[in-house]
Parts: sequence; structure tokens; C-alpha cells
Amino acid sequence: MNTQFKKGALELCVLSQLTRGDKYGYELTERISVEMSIAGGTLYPILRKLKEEERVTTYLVESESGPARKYYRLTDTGRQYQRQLQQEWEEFTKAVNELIWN
Amino acid sequence: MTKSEYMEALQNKLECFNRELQQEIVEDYEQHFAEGIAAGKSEEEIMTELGSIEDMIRELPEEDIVQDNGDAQAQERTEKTMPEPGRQSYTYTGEYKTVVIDGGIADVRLKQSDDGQIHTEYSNSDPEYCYYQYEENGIFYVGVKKDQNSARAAKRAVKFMLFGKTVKVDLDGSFEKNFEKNFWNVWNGGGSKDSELEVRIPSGISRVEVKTRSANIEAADVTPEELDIRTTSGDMAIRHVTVDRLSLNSTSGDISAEQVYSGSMDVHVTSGDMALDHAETGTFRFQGASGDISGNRVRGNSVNIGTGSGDVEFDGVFERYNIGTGSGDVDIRVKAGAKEVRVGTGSGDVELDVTEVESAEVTVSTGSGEAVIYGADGARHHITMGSSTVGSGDCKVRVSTGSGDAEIRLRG
Repeated sequence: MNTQFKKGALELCVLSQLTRGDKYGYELTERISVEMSIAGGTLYPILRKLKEEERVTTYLVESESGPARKYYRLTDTGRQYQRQLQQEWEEFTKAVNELIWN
Repeated sequence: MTKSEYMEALQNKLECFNRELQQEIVEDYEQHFAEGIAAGKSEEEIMTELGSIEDMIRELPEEDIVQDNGDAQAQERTEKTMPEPGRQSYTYTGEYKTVVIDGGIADVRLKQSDDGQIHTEYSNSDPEYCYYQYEENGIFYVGVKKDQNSARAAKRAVKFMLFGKTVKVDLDGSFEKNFEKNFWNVWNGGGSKDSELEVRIPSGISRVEVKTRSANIEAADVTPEELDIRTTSGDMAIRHVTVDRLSLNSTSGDISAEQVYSGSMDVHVTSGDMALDHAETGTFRFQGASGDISGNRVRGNSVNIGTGSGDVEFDGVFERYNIGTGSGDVDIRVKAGAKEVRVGTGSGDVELDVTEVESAEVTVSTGSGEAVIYGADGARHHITMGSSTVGSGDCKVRVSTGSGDAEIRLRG
């Protein structure tokens, strides 16, 4: 898939996954990798940015696999932002589809 | 590429960002590795999944690039940064309890100063790095770090291929200068970085810390109370030091130490080898994974060595020996005065020479290995599976192996 497409959409993918419950970084990269090929590392700057913008908060949970897991949780503004992005995305893809097919 | 090389590359690439960001991203990656390993993936697979570090760096915000990491940490610092290549010398007067030296990519040489002052000398061939010095809470900091201006410029750079190697050229208008430099670096096999930082310290300093990444460290003729030296992949050479506590840490670099007089000596290495010659230490502790350890003409109270696949060769005067390896072989010559010798291996073979000890009681137990004890009575005792005791005396020797063989010689 074109990398420019992915870049813009990745933030929406992350936020959308978080609407289904709190997740830790590795879990998110695994889930997204199922659908598209990404450099997993690029997710961490996105998560960091979302945290700085207060769209998500983080908390640590002890883990058997080693260092504590950092979970990400959507804030209310994060939830609103996700809805806004999703709507923009739908309008955009609808427009693109229109131009492709008709 | 191994995980530690990947993480080192990550840290290098993150260097021009603020520390909080650096730490967070490094932690995220460490966590990612831990999760992947727990899920049964190889380091190789995890690195492929995480992908190119450059791709990730490009996602980081420009605002988090800092002009000067030092200033971001503390305003009161007086910092001198000298980006020009060449040779620089400085003298510092003042009483310091602690000296912290961070060579980064530069080799560090630590020596004694005779006039009560600290002298530093930096010679640099790489304009991307600069010398810094500051003090904070009575601690003297000196080191070499990436010049932030050039790091910033490096972010706006293009890459192209030259002779099959990637060359990066900064887009700051100095194309030709950089082209020449990069061309030269490629020509020389990817960078001629022979930067060197020499620090001479007076006596009376309590603690000295020295660290580098891939650069080598040399310490000679110094006498601080505590000396802590660490490197990722550089080699260490310690010669003629007298300290209360010596701590050496290396991931893949080798360590050589001679004429070391220390109350205690702690060494941690992953894959590097260590050679210790002519040393006196109250306790000697060595923890290694695959690196070998050899000790010659060493004396002290107790020696404690643990390795995975690394071999152990030790010849010294100690009261207590405690040696454990997984698959590493053990070859020890125990000197008179030893009271307790414990050696345990998994598949490693054991060779133990106790002939210099007046009288010893030797107990050997082995799983599937074969053990032979040449007893004081001249008899040859052969042990396969199970345990057996030969001789009697003040020096208690216990040897246990899994599948490894053992050969023990008592005074005949």
C-alpha cells in the first residue's frame, strides 16, 4: 500500500482500535499489522503525539513478559477526535470512490 | 544485526532529541522486544516488524529536537562547546568529589594529573561532534557529544548511493563541503572517527565514572576511591590503578586489566572477553554470558565467577573460589591458602589443579560426565555418575558437573 495513504490513516486506525478498549503498544502494532504492512516502530511516535495532545492517557500494568506494559486509553477529546477523523475519512473515501467508479 | 546493535543505532539516531523523548521511545522499543520474545518471536523477526529506525525518526516532531541537551536539563550550567575540529586543551581548577566522563564516540584516556588540577585534551576529526564540560552539584562533567547544529542539519539531508553505499548530504547549502567529507568517509570505509578525549585527574577524587559507546577506554595510574567504567562495544584497558571499588561493564567489548589493586572488583560483560593479570582484590566478581575470563597472578579473599558459555581460566591465590558456568570450560590452579573451592558446570569440562595445597578434601559429583581424581596417595579415582570424596584436609573442594568431564589433581 502507498505509504502516504498509510501515514495519514494510521492515526485514525490507532484511535479507532482504542475505541474498542485500552491497548498496549505491541498489541496495537500486532493488530494493525494483520491488515496492512507497517514499520511497527512508527506507531510509537504517533502514540506519543496523541498523548501530548491529550487524546490518550497512559498507565502502566506489570507484565510477565518483562518491563511493565504501557496501556493507552482514549480521553473524551480523543473520542471526539476519532469521530471527526472517521467522518472525514468516510467523506474522503466516498469522494474517491465516486471518482474511481463514475 | 543483533538487538543490542539495533538499540544502539536507535539511541544514536535519537541523540538530538530531548531526553524525555529519547527515554520514552527507547522504553517503548524495549517493551516491544520483551513482548515479541515472550510471544516466541526471534529478535530478527521483531526488528523486521519494527522496521527502519529512520522511518520512525521521521514521524517525530521537529520541536523535540533540542539545541543543547545540557541546557534543557539545567540552566545554571556553564557549558563550553567547541565544534571546530582540531585539538583543544583545557585546565580546570576546583575541588571535585566526582568526575563523570562520557566519551560517546571518542576514545577516552584517563590519567593522573600531578598539579591538583583537571586537564582535558580533545582531538577531533569529526565536525559532527563537539567537546563539552560543565559542573553541577559539585560534579565535574566532561565529554563529547553530537553537535546539535549539525544534528539538526542532518535531519534535512538527502541520501544517495555511491559505490554501493548510502551517502547522506546535508541540505544546508554546504553541499560541496559535505560531499567531500562524505565521499572521504565512504572511501575510508564509512567514517574515519579517531576522536580522542584525554582527562587527567588529580588524586583525592572520590568517584570517577567513564563511559563510551563504541569507543575504547584506557585508564592508567589513577587512584580514585571508586572507579566505574562502562562501554557498549569499546574495549577497555586498565593499567596500574589503585582504588577501593572497581566496577567494569561492557556489552561486547573486551577488557584487559593489569596491576589492579582494589578492595573489590565487579565485572559484567556480555560477549566480551576479560584478561586479568597481576591484580590484588578483596573480592573479585565476574558475571559474563559468552565471554571468556582469564586471571593470572591474582590474589585476594574470594573470587566469584559466573558465565554461560564463556571459559574460565584462573591462576591465583584466594581463600574462597566459587565458579559456575553453563557450557564453559573451567581450568583453575588453586594456590596454598585456599579454604573453599566450589566449581559447578553444566556441560563444561573442569580441570582443577590443587597440587599446591597441603591437604584437601575433594568431593566430586557428576551426572553423565566422567571424573578423575589423582589423589594424594598416588591413586587414581574414577567417578562416573554420583558423587565421591577423596582425601581429607582443611581445604574443601566441591566439584559438580552435569555432562562435563572433570580432572582434579591433588598433591601427590
